[in-house]
Amino acid sequence: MQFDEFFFIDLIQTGIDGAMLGSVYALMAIGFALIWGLLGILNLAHGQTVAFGMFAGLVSAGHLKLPIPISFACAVVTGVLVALLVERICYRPIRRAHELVPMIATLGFWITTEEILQKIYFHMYFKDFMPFPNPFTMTRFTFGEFVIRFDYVVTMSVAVVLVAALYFVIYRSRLGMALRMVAAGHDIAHLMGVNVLKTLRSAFMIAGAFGGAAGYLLGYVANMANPYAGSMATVKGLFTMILGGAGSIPGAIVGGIVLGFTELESAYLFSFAYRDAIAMGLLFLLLVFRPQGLFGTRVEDKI
Amino acid sequence: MKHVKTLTFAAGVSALLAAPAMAFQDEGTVRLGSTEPLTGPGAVYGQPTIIGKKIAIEEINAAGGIMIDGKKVKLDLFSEDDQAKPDQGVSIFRKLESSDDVLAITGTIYSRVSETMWGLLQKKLDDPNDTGLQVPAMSFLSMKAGVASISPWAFRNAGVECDQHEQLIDLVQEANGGAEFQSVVAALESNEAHSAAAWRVCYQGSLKKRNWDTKEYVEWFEQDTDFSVQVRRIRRAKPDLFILSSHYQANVGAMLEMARQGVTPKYMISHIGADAVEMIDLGGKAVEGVVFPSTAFFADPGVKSLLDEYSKRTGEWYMPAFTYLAYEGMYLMKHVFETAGIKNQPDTLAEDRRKVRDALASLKDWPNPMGLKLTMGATGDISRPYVYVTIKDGTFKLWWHPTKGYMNP
Repeated sequence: MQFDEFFFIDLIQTGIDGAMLGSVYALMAIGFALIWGLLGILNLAHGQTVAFGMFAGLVSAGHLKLPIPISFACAVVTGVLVALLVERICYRPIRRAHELVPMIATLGFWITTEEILQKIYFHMYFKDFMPFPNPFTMTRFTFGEFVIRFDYVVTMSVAVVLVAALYFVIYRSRLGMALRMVAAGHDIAHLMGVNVLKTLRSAFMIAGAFGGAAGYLLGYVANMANPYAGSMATVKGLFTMILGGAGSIPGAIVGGIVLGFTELESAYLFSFAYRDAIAMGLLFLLLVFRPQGLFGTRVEDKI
Repeated sequence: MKHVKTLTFAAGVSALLAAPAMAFQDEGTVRLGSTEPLTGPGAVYGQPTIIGKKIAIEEINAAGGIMIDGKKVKLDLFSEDDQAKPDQGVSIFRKLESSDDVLAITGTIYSRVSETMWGLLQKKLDDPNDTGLQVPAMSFLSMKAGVASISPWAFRNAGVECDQHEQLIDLVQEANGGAEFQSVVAALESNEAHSAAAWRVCYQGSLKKRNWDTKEYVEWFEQDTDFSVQVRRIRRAKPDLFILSSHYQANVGAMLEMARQGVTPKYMISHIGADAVEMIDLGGKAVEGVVFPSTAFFADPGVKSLLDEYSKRTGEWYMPAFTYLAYEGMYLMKHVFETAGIKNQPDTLAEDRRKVRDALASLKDWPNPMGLKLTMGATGDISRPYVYVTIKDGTFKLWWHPTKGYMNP
């Protein structure tokens, strides 16, 4: 950090960039939050919806040269299909077992599908990283000393639209009402006539759609795709969800933006080398004083 | 009946124990160990390497093989996949040394894996108290400075990294009319061992030697996707020399951001991590102008037949230098096996390994497939002439050549 005439300009610019980067983290975290909120399990396979979404975006936009909106839709649909598979394999058959069992099953799904994706990827491409189409990579807006990347604006706009759509579904549709009932309790929802399994399947599909979208946008802003995005998405997504408050959708959104902001600001203000350590340290401090995260509800079930 | 079973078991064990006697010179082969990351994230380096090795071995065996103790034998490669994991590398190294009884072990790619594997080797030659493994080991990459100094049994043909950077800094200064640079800026990929070692051991030494301070210094991680903070600081420093101690993935992300922010240093230099076709595929015009060292330029006439075969097998138009280094390494092993005076028998294995080690350590003026003469240095590194490559007009071009001078300044 240098305290010179550019300090405040760079501080603000870094904050803007961080918040925009964080919008992708938010999309990744929403999938985790949704499943945690409804089932109380950590869906460790959710990162694979991101990885396969990125891969579908690469194949459709890079390989098949499909227009961006269609390619984006392919990524979303792929995320949904992967999430359906998770629900069929890791949740539905073992839903009555201890809550750790489906979580371990999702861990197995993550590892297995990551290996499979790598095999497919390296069969198709002879490189670690492939160019991900982004026609706006050099486009930027300048406002005096401030610069805004156009692709970040696109990413944030897509995130805003998706979150608005999610809120519409949750608070303005029958599916949303069913989801809220299931979140309150599976037995209560069942007694109220809600088809719990069907509702949960829909929740997995929504989570997968967000994962697929996040995968596409991650490749898009980085200009490159790789088969390892699932691991990164799992780490960042879980981190964001805990930061925002486990199971909270607003928490996932704010958590993502706070994480992006913290990562870049700590890199700017303190050290690039300790950026992740600083971000993790802040999370630790937050959890000490507010264990439920930014938007979570405090529940004390331990002595 | 009990005796029959006992005898059958004993015969089976004897047959197993006797099996190695059928190998080596008697079966017409000489065993060479090989370890690379063939799957997982490191496979993008391991696969081009094993292809280079296999092409050389197929050529050697098609030409009759290797002359050992008056008889032509075939080179038999025992290939393993270390997945770029140090613990896996250690298991493989032990297996190749003890179970497979290879004469020498080649590989691996990543410095951290080579360092760990070579940690098993004897540290002091002829010291009876040093019970480390005694098998010649040679890497065809592992660029981290000082890696081959771990053991007198360890060798490397990729060159001495610090020499490359020292020479390249000299060359850019010369290209700059001999003038000192006003603003030297450096960027380090701080979570990658090779990049960190290149910066601390090589680049910093070269800058200190010239009394040059960096006006700005930034760090990033290999997997970063946002470089806006670092590049803003680079922009403020208005660099005329920009040093990248970083691999292609981060290089591309950072240089795209530099293009967005309009940062155009007069000279940009990188270590060997820029030797990847992804620089062009992913970075496009943003990476044009960067200069990096290479041991074998892919368009050099001396490697044309290798490039053609490599392209045929992979469909790639570009061949990284380490494919050539692996190819060259197999011919180097052939030369050493032929001249070390080995017997290639199971009972002479320990003695043969020592002879191969001594032959590698005393290698002098060996003409490589490109016609350059190579000599082994005291640290286990082959000193060799380097070329410097730049990215221009969407392709890799020679920037400087030891005999042709500046080509695309």
